[in-house]
Amino acid sequence: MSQVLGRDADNENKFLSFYLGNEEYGLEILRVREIIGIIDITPLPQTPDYVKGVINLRGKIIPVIELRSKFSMPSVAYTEQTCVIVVEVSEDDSTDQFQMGVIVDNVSEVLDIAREQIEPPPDFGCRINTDYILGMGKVKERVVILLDINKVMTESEIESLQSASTDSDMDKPSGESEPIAA
Amino acid sequence: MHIISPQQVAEALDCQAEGAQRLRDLLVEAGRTDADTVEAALLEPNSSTGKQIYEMIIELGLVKSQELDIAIEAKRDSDKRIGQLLELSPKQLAPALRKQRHMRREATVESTTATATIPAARATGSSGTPANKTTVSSHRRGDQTVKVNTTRMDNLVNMVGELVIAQQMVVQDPSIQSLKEQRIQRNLTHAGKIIRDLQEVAMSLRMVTVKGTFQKMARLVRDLATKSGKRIQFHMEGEDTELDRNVVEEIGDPLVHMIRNACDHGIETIQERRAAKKTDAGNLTLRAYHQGGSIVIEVQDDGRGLNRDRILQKAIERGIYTPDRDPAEIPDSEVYNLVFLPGFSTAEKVTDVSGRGVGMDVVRRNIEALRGHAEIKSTLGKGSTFVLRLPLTMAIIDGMVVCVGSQRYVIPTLSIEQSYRPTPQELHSVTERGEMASVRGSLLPIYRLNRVFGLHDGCDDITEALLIVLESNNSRCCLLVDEIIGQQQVVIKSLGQGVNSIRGVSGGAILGDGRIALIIDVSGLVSEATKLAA
Repeated sequence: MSQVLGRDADNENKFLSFYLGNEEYGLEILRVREIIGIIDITPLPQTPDYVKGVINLRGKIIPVIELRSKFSMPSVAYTEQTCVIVVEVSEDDSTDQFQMGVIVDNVSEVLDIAREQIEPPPDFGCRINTDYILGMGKVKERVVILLDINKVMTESEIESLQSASTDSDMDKPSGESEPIAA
Repeated sequence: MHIISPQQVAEALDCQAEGAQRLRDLLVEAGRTDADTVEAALLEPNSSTGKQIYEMIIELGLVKSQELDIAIEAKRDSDKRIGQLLELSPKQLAPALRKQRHMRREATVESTTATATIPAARATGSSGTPANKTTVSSHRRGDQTVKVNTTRMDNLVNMVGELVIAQQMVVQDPSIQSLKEQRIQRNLTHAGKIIRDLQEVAMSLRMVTVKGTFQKMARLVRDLATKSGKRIQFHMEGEDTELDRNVVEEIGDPLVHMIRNACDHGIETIQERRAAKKTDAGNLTLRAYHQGGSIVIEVQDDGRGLNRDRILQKAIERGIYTPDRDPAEIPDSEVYNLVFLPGFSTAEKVTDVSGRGVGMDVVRRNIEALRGHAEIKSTLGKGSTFVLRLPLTMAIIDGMVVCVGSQRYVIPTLSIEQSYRPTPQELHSVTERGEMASVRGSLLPIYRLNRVFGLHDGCDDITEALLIVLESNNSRCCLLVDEIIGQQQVVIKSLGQGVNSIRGVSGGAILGDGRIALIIDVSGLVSEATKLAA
């Protein structure tokens, strides 16, 4: 399935929700370019574990990261529900936008969350970095962790810059197998 | 008039090697035809090139116009050349073809950053690869131009590139290949031919002549001559040669460097020239021409030439080179290449123009970044020529597709010397970690691609796998891969801005089945591999 989501003023409060395990997360709909089912990933050398590789998106090559890996959650095997959300990211809000793919367990729905329903993230201290959380959205009884995709991605870039230049042994090849849905 | 043999046609076509190949195939397939029982047309009368061949053949008096009309009248699409139909001997046909090629070269497609001419489609297109052909318009009446936004043009070119890939994916699909219907295969081939022609046209939109750059150099030479009090005559040759727009921008700086070198160190003062019995004015020639699939740019001067001994001496003095054999045995070309090493300069004086020892290595790096090659030829006392060789287009590379485990990679063919399956006798190791192979007398290190890239699969036994001997930066090494899939031209796609540069990988290519093959940057791979081994 592949959808391109439209852009207009109404969409500023809309978030695309998806799951990583039992946790529900949200991404600003304006940043979502399309959603595709998981496809063949070509691994890239010298990149951090969570950068799974690159994919062929209708003739364009874009990198994909596995969000579970990025958040240091254990990886799971891919199923037919596993999706790649293609997002548009800009570094430091510059005009340069580029596309990346984010691998998530499954995609849920589009939620309308008004500003008043968004609370700032709680401070867990230095155990968990919450820079990339926009806020905690309250939808009925659920709590949706709203992500600032720029910060998620930009941080990973910085890390990969560091790992590429300092030649640390972060480039450990991942051990799990990845069954791809046919 | 007689039947042409495939070989004779090939001779007639001289440098159009691919066209000869196709023609050969078609001739073998089709058998004999003559003007009376014409079945296949080779001309589409509506195309301008078609009309030209017609006119030329009439003009040259090779054939009566009646017979030619009969040939044209029969309509079907196929790529047979007129010669086959009319049974012209290669000698008779050759002048017509030569004239057509000459006309094509004359009428050039000029595209600056703001304008583009739309060239006419070619009728007798053989499956040319964009790297080898320049598509030109032959409208003699005066080329009209339109201004086109460059982003739109780049988008168009990208989309055409994707169309080529999409078409390959359809054609290579096993269920399509197994279709028995002749008609659909023919139609697909026809569509494919049109798409390839379209790609050539699109690529040609990005071509510009080197004239502008060369003319800027003329001014530079004048300034340099005045400043130094020397007399320097500037000559240009082949300024109508075309290059990809981006490449033209990138060669500007290296050219400036080389010209400064030539004017400053190459060409002597008037007195020196008189003493050497040369003309008062030195000659500096900038030359551009196509050769094979590349464009060659030469900076030639008739000045002092390179002093081989001084170069060797300086290089050794500065510790940037230690000869591994008797200096007298080192070939000239290798000595001259020392000039490209960083930190080198034999200039006695460092002027503001050159001599700081940073010029030539930057030139070489810039050229190699464009996947090109720089070298120097020289004769002491007579002059020097700096030769730059660049690929015609940046977007496409000729590569060898190899596989390691489940992944596939593309190695630029330019870097490949040879490939072979080694026998155990040819393999050696040092402290059980450094592996080497002896290739034609020298010992070269072996790098296992799967280890360099951190892959889990891939063949472990070298004698079951293949060694590819690579050459880069004057050093050679062997790369271990599982097998070679084939050679093909691939479109280079960048890996996306989100990914920072990966050492050893210069981009990605989408193969016919839609999967991605990483394109290997040989020098990056070597430095990555040597780091891992350390």
